[in-house]
Amino acid sequence: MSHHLITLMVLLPFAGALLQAFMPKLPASQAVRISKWAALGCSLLASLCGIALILSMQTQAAELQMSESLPWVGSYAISYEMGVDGLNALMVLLVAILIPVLIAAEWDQKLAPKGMHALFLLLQSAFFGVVCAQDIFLQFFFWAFSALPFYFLIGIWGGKERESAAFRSVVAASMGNALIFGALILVYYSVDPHTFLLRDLAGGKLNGKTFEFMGYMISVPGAAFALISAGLAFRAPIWPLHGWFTRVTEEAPPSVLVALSGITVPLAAYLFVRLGYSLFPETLVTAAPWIVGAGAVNLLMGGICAIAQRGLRPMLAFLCLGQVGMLLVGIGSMNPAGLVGAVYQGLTLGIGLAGFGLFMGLVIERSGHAAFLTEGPKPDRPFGGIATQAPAVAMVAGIVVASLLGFPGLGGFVGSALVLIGSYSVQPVVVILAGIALLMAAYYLFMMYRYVFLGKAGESSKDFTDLTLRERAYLLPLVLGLLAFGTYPKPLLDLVRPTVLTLLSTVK
Amino acid sequence: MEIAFDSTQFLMLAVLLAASAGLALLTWGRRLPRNGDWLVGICLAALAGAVGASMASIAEQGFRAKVLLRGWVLPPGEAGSITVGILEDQVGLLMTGLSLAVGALLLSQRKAMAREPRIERVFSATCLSTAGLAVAWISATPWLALAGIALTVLGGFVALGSRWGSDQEATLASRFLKERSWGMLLTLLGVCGLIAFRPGTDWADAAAWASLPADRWSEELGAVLLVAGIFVQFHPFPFLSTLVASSEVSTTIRVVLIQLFPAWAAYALLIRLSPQLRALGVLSLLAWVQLASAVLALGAGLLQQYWRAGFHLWVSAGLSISVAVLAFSDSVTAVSLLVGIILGASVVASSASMLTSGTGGGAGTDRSAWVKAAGLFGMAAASGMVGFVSAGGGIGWISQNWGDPVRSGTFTFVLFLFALLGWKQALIILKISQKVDLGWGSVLSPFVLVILSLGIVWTGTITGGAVIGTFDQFFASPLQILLGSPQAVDEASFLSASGAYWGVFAVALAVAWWVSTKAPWKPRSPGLANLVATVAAGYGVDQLASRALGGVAWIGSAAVEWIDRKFWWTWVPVGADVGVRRLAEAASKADGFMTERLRIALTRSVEVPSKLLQLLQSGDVQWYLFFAIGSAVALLIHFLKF
Repeated sequence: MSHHLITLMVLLPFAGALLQAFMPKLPASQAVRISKWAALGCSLLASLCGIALILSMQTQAAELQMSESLPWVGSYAISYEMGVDGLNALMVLLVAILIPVLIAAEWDQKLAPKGMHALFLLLQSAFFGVVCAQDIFLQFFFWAFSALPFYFLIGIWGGKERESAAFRSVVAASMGNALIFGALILVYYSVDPHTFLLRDLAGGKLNGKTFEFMGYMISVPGAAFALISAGLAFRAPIWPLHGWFTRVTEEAPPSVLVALSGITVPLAAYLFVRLGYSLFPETLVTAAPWIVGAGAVNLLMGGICAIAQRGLRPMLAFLCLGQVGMLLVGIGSMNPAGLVGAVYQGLTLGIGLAGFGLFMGLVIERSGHAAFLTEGPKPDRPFGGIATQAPAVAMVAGIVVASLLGFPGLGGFVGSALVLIGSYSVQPVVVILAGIALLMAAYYLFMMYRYVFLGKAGESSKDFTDLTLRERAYLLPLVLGLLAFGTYPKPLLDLVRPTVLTLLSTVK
Repeated sequence: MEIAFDSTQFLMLAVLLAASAGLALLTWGRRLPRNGDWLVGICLAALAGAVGASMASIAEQGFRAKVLLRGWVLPPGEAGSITVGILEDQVGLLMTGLSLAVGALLLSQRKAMAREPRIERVFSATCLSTAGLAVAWISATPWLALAGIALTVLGGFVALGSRWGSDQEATLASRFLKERSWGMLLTLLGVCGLIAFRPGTDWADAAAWASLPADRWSEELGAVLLVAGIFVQFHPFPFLSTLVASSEVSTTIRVVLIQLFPAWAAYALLIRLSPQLRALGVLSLLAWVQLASAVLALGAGLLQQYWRAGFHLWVSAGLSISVAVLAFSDSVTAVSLLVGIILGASVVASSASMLTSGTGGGAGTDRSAWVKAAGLFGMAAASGMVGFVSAGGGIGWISQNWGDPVRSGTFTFVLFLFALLGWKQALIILKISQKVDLGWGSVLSPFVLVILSLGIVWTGTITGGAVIGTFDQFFASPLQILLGSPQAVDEASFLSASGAYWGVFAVALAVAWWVSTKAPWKPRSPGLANLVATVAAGYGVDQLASRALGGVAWIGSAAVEWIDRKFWWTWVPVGADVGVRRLAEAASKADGFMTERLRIALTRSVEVPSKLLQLLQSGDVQWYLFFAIGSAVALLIHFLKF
């Protein structure tokens, strides 16, 4: 049974989505209730499969585990090859934690709840697929597919200018996907026999391969790496290709924003590590300073732009932008501590951003907006005093903020510290820049915390109520996750470390 | 079933209990009987028991430190790994024990702090800060010490949380959190930088440090970041404005939980790493910066109109001086002064609190004289008066540097300012005419700290080691038994230094007496008044910082405006839209043009031969004429070749 856990994990949410679509006709109230529970049930079952998968993994083992293989399109050597190792196990955990939380967060959705839940289930299926796929075509299939639900989620449940935001999100994703697809074709035809299988392409098989373009000989790994990097940069998002993302954060519902920033971003970083380190080790060594440089730029620009923001939505966008920089710095360090830190940071950053997005959702739900300072030269503070009226909300927000800043004892600390340790021996100046970005983050996050949670209650927070039982239930996994991953990271690091060391040994 | 607990486990459990109790009080404290003060008492007692057991345990082994190291992140010994551990040694346990005494003082002041709207948050902060301080001092590696500092910072923030409902207090609380977080993040960066070159072994072991090769430049950079972070925890010069800002929070809470505990926890990291930092030359750099900060804080303190602001600045200066003592003398001397400053400052703060809000439903008898006496004794302990442990620290500091005129001159000058401001503040306390009818528990509890700061307790001498020789030595110095002997000083240097010390002290006392009899100085000239106001408000750093931050925010706004709003949200979509439309129109036009041309060409290509055929068919053109013309052309071509 354990050998089909991955398939089960991928198919269960898909089946749940189909169930939502073809549910038999029932009285309205009953239908909504049954559909909600069915969606949550399917998602939770899939998540349980994911957690069971991780629990049954062998620690201190670098190789792929729980592999499943099936020919798909035989004539093009495309196969359904799935598996988990230290690199993707934490991403499985991230998706397993967050999607049921998002469904629970949208429990009281008035507008077409069935549709929204079905789209979340499709997302869960696609995300699990991206994470576990070991055939790059299959991986691309799931990655491209994961962009589609966002179009509907933003376009139907978004703000006033939702159509525009949805269009931008799908255009950016399509552009990125086109670039990645180009790289896949290039890689596929560069090896003989042609294959999309990661294990057949890994280990420097592409080294030295070239192709002719307009009379010039171009390196296959170089071109494919550049295409994949650019393709992922569109969805990650990397400054200055982030324009669509900031637009989407203005319009998307908070739960969708969580899926976008808390899952898609770490997943894009995971794909970058998986493809970069497996397929293009030599190119990666050459590109490492550029990756670290891009990370530093993201960190700084994210911080500088976030300081100027007056609302939680744009602040989340630029916070995410900055934190992607931290991931890039770790990935580019080419060093065990840095890379393990980046992989770990993917998980804790996802949960941290999800926590930020969800408390922003609570604020919007209760007050109708998330601007903590009004526009104009002498801005007013519409919020304040929430810590007194809703201490549980303030406490959750405080834990999330502290974790995002990398305070000891919380999830963000382990990843950030490892990234900084790993990068310092390679690029001390970049670590200083990262430090400046962290100081800026401390400034704007605590400034936000003061305006929203402390002081006298403002107009928008006068009747602010504390967390309901349902809200406590779905925020609890995030808070517990941040605490557990921050205090006892050993079991997860034991999974990650061997794979990272193996990957780095191929690079060296 | 027998469960064997050793002292380390007991200590860890007690610390964990205190931290958990702090969080529990923050969450449910309001619902607990007496707002949970009994829970604080239990935690402090448990921690005291654990410290006692640990001290007994290491005393059994001739005061040999016990170290328990565990890998936390990545296997221990691997490059970049994070190792944590517990170090049970005399200095750590001593400081933890003292922090419990200060925590108990806070608890005893329950009635004096009755004005606090959310007293349970103060209790929560007491637990968190005490646990944090214990963690910082018993940590074997910088990582856990960092966690300890974080706990004390959280404690400070929660303590200010008693008045989060007010905008002014909320701003102060968030500034405190921001500034201390900057300090922690800088320390984290520094620690990461230093550990990047060596496996996560016991950092307290200076020999292990020195044996590992490292890149000097990167190491210095790491060390500078580390001490910069520690520097911030001392609430020094650029951050003075939060000290002088007006606040309703009790002076005891602000001094003990906001100023002393985070700095005291950071001092643990400093004292543990002092051999390494000294070897890198970073410690002396920090010390000079701290001394400059102390002078600036004392200068601003002398110009304050309000007692509280001046006192906070004096505490800040005292903490800065304690860093300089560590840098330029030995750890025994530094601990002597630090103990005096912390215990004395806590006592003065509690006296001031009782004198300004001293009605607590006591017996009705006025006990303000006792409170004032405690304040004076507290100041004597903190400023290094003879008889207190700090006297030995102050004299030791100057005498060990007597050979260097720059250092000894600077130190004497700083001590003069320190004693002057301190005694000015203490003498002002005497003039407060407020009835204090608190219970004896509250009134006498500061005297426990006064007793703890006496020279005889630490050095076995009546004078606190302020005179040469052993004529006042009653028993062996516990301080030396626990921490070792201080650096030896020759008799001539000691005598000269102590002469200078007492001379400066006497002058400072006289000036302080004279100043305290005068009304606060207010300059008449508007320019000078502005200058004084700027200095008193923290040298205008706030305005400068807000301008700098405004500049960063402006750059951020401009980046968002141009890159996001204009380029991505407007130009790219409009450009893409116009581009695609134009392209489509051009393609459509080209398509029409091509179709038309093709049609014309096709028509013509069909029309010409068909017309010819028609002419031939109708007999208008004779077909054989084509042969004639064709033959003629062929002949011409043939002959024209030549």
